[in-house]
Amino acid sequence: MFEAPRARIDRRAVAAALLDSPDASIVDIIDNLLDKGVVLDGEIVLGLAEIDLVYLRLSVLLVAAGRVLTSKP
Amino acid sequence: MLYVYALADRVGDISDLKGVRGESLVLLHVADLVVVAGEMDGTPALSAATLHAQDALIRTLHARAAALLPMQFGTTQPGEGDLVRLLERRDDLGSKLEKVCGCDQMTVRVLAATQQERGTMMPERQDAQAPNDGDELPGTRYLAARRRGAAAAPPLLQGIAEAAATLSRDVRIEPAQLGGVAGTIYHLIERGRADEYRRVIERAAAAVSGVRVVISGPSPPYAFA
Amino acid sequence: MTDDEDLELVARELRERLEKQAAPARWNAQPEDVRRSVMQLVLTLIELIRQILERQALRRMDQGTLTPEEIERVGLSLMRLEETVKELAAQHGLDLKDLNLDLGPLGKLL
Repeated sequence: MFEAPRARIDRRAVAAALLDSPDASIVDIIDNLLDKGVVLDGEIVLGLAEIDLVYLRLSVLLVAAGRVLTSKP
Repeated sequence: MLYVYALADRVGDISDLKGVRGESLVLLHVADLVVVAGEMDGTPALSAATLHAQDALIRTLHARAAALLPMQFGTTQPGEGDLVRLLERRDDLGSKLEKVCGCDQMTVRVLAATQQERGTMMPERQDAQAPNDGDELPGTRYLAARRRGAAAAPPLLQGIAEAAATLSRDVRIEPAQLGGVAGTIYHLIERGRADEYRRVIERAAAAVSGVRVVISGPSPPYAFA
Repeated sequence: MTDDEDLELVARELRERLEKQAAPARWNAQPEDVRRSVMQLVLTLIELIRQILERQALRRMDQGTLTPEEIERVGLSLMRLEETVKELAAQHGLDLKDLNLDLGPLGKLL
């Protein structure tokens, strides 16, 4: 169960629409909530001829080596 | 599915609060962190209303916590297990939480003062090049330059940001992507010092010809999360 | 300038920033130019790994958990890797910005 990758593209469209006729508060809110804040995982979509074939979530691949390897004696 | 709002050191009793879909909030304990989330069937629709709701909730949580890291909008995980696994892999969250403890974020947008100035204020390119020290070995020099490159910011923004150096615990500078705007400065200041901060920044901006600043805050520390 | 104009300007800049930020990393090979697309993907992934390694190296430099010899070796390797990526990209008519991926916490590649 993954969040659909297309959701990110839709976000841009909605944000653009909201920023088209901005009220003062929405700029900071959009900046903070859509461009800042903790992001838990990254995603890549691989496709061929516009067909999405593979969806990767990089969070499951990465770990800092310092935590895995035992420290030097 | 869990919709994740924020990480905190503690938030106390939040049974009076609701999520952006009106859902009850759940508190999860992972290592030294508390995670505030809501149970949902799908990501909430992105709209002005939802954004305002999430912003309001984060502000409330921020007021109740000593240290809080807001999540970006739309952060979801299939379940508690996935969330816990992801958080345990991160080795940066604890120190980030420590850093923002007792602090607010202030945001300064630096703009050209007049229409004419707009024309001359162009987006600046970041350059990771740095002068050679000559004595250093090549690989070491390269890494040192990359580290400097990672910290470099256009002098105009840097100059205004420096004015609040003694007031702030940390700073992030984002050069603009569009002409007419120099960029945005985010400062992490101790709670309660917003007025002092505004005076300092306004004075610094007044000393630079051709710029105006739009200052907002205090807000939860999104830029330092 | 009025406050409204300031607001317009700031809103437009933010839109520009979001445009550059928000694209999910998407790679699509068209049948006609699969080879170039494959090279683009390969280089993108190498560049991604290079950035991750560089970030980690800088962090460990700051933490003091690398010896001077290690710093020099890592620095040289990263430097050569960067040159290799640039050369290969150029050979295949790719610009560094063609290798741009946005990967959330791993940052943008450019």
